[in-house]
Amino acid sequence: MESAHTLSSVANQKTCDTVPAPQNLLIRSSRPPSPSPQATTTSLFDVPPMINADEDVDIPMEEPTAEEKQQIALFPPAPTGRKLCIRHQRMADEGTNLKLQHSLDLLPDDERSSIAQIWSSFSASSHARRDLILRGILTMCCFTELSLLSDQLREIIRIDPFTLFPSELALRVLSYLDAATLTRAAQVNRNWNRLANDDVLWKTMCQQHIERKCTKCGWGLPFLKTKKAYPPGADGRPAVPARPSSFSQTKRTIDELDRDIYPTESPSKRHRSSSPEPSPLSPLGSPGPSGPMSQFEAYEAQKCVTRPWKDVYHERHQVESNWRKGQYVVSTLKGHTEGVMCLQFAEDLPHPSFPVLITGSYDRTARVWNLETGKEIRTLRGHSRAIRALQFDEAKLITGSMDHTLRVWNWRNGQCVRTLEGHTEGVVCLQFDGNVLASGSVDTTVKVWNLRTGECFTLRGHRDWVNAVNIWDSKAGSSDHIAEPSASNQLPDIDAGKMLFSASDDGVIRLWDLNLRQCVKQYHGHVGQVQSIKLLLLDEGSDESDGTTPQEPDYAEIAAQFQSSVGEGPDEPEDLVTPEVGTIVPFNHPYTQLPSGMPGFAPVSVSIPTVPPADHPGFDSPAFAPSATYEAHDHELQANRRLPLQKRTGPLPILISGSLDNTIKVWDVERGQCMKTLFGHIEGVWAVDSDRLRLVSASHDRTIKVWVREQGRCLTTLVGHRGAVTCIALGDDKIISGSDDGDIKIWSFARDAKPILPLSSGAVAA
Amino acid sequence: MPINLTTSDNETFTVDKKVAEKSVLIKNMLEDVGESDQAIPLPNVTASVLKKVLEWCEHHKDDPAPPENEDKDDTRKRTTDISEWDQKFIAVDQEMLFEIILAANYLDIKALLDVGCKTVANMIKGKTPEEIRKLFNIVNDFTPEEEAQIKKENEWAEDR
Repeated sequence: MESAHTLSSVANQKTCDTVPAPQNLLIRSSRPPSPSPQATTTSLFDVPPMINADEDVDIPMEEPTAEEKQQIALFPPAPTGRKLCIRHQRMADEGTNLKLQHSLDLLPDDERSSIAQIWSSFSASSHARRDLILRGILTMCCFTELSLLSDQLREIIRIDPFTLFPSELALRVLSYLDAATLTRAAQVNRNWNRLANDDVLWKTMCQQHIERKCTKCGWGLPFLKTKKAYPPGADGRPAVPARPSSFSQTKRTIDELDRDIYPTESPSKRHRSSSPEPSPLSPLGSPGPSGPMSQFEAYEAQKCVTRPWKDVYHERHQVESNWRKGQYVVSTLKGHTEGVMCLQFAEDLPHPSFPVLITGSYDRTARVWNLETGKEIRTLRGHSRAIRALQFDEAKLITGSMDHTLRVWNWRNGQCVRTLEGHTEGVVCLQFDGNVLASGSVDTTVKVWNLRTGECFTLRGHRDWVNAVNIWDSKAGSSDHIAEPSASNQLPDIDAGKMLFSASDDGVIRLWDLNLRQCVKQYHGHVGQVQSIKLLLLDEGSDESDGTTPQEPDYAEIAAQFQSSVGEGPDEPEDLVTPEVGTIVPFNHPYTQLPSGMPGFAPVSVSIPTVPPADHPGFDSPAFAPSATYEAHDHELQANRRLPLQKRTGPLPILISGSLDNTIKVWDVERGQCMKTLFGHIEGVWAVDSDRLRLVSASHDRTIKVWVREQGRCLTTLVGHRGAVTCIALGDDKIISGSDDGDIKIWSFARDAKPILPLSSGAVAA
Repeated sequence: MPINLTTSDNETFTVDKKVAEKSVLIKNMLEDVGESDQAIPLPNVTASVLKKVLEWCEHHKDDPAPPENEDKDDTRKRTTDISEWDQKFIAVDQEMLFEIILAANYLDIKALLDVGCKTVANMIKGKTPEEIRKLFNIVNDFTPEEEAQIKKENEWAEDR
């Protein structure tokens, strides 16, 4: 009795657990719960409450099917108003019981009765009894019957897990799925639709794919920050204004929320330039770097009330599809009268409200364009020879020219506010980051300027034109680095760990420590002039799939590598490091003595205490230490040099270079090794750009190639320029390129991209 | 120290404490109650399921405890890799699989829950809606219009 009680409760509980719709085939609410032996049919009915979903045998005979037709009238087969479990409901729908009954009806009466008897006694049995009966029957079965059972079981034991699971479990299952499967799951039925469209689920999908390549599926989606990239009205917000402020408001909370997922990393990828990207420090001392993803989230968070994450994902998926399939719309901007040599665009400036493109040309002008309309807004004149390099931010534009000078402009009104003189030949590349400006020249030197004071020092070592420079905050992202400036309440222009890459016609890429003002590493491999470099910081653990990049570099090996590269560089004898210290020359320096409070240009010992200040040749120090001291330095140097590397917990730096040897190389910055060489261009590569998702290159062969960096595979080749493609900038949904033929082309991979037609009144659908 | 566990169908299992404590629920209960001879009632688990769950716990009893923040990590490195032993272990019929998942959820055995959920996810992965319905015996309760609409809304993901 006691056991019977337990059993029934067990059965109930189990039915409840496994089959949510309480399947008390209730039928007989009127009947006493105890099996009424009166009619075989009824007892058949009484059973189902005890039914165990995994006991195939007990088919709930809804209908009195068994033998007596008149019973049927009493208990119509249709489960009207009854609560049935999914399984039994389904069976009723499929008429399973009816079929069973038909088979039964064909039999002679006595057989019918005896079968019904078997069923009824089974159904009247307790759980344990049933178990016993079943086992007995199983042993009686021949293989044919077992086969029937096995066959039937396979079919009927299927259950929709999401009817059993609480939502959080269902979502947990779904969280393991990819976007394609999720969208299929959403088509299964209403319940699945609700679950598979869950916003949190898609937010996670966004987090896994946007601005990063998903390690599982290999897909990465563009960030797409600009408002205009998608049709307005979805959220009813005005086009652009007010974003910066609301930005900073939400940023913090979002940051805190998801910091674990998005360790703040560097380059705010918003400012793009033909020259490599600047590091995050913003020039106006405005709030420091923030991870692109947190910006993204902050940005999206403003709208997610109306905009489901699935839509966010969907939109980016379409753009990414366009990239992958090479579907784009191309527009051409004309205006320059000679070859375009450099360009940069920015889509997220607080002002103006439209995206801005600035280009520099052999026609000695820099031009400012409205990227939305394709209209030229302003022409900046002043340089007496070709403009070969430029970079701008919200406040200023800096151009480098073959007239040996650099100019600082207010690009909004076209005024040249400053001219930097110092190079003895044309300036062909530049990059600034905060108050530090680096420029490379035909005179084979790199000059590093303090934009605030106008001071500069010179890095010598290259033996030919310096075609590209790229500043690297090797310590960016580490918290102490961020804290440093605010603590001292000054903005050191050169933080510890500030490095610079430079690429030259001599075929070598050099890495300089800007604090030490020394070349600390060289990258040999190109057999032609290196025209362009681009530093890329990859998330740790990102899939640089060839496996040549171990996550933890072997520092001993790096040291060895360095030594060998120092000592046995192919075309550089051992005069490498030491002489360079000695060749640091103060140039154009307004002060004879270094002001002790000079931020950033303070003696190196401030940031690197291990170097005795007295021995160190400051850039303005007229007396150089004897060479013996340099050797001592060199030892310390190596220790110092490795320090930032060892401390690296953040992103993995890789360097991409394009050369006139027709190749693009991807370098392991820390090991100094070439990880990959991309072949495909049939003439020299003038420019490269890259983000986390792709790499683009511009070549003398008049084409642009889009590459899958990890695989070194060319995805698309863009043909259209009539001359060599000299400069290129990569955006989330576009490439902008400039050519020797004077044209600028915008290759848009955006959703619903339309050509920009500056001369016509409006854009025409593609 | 052996621990007694009583299932919903009144079966009692005696297991090593180390094994039982794979379940955070049981671990917490033991901490709360202290040493006791009394069986711990598990009213949400039947004997057949508990048997399977304990089999898993026994095999994994020496696994290192999962890090606290594993959940956060989850979103970054979710992988559907399941160890060979677990794959064999979890190769059961749907009903048992889902029961194990529910039990792992109830008993708070995260690693087992993961194995179960990943297994279900792997079953779903790559299937068409109709295949999924068939797999789980699901009735399509969309109207034809709805179905067409939803299909249209979700086609984009196939485009890759």
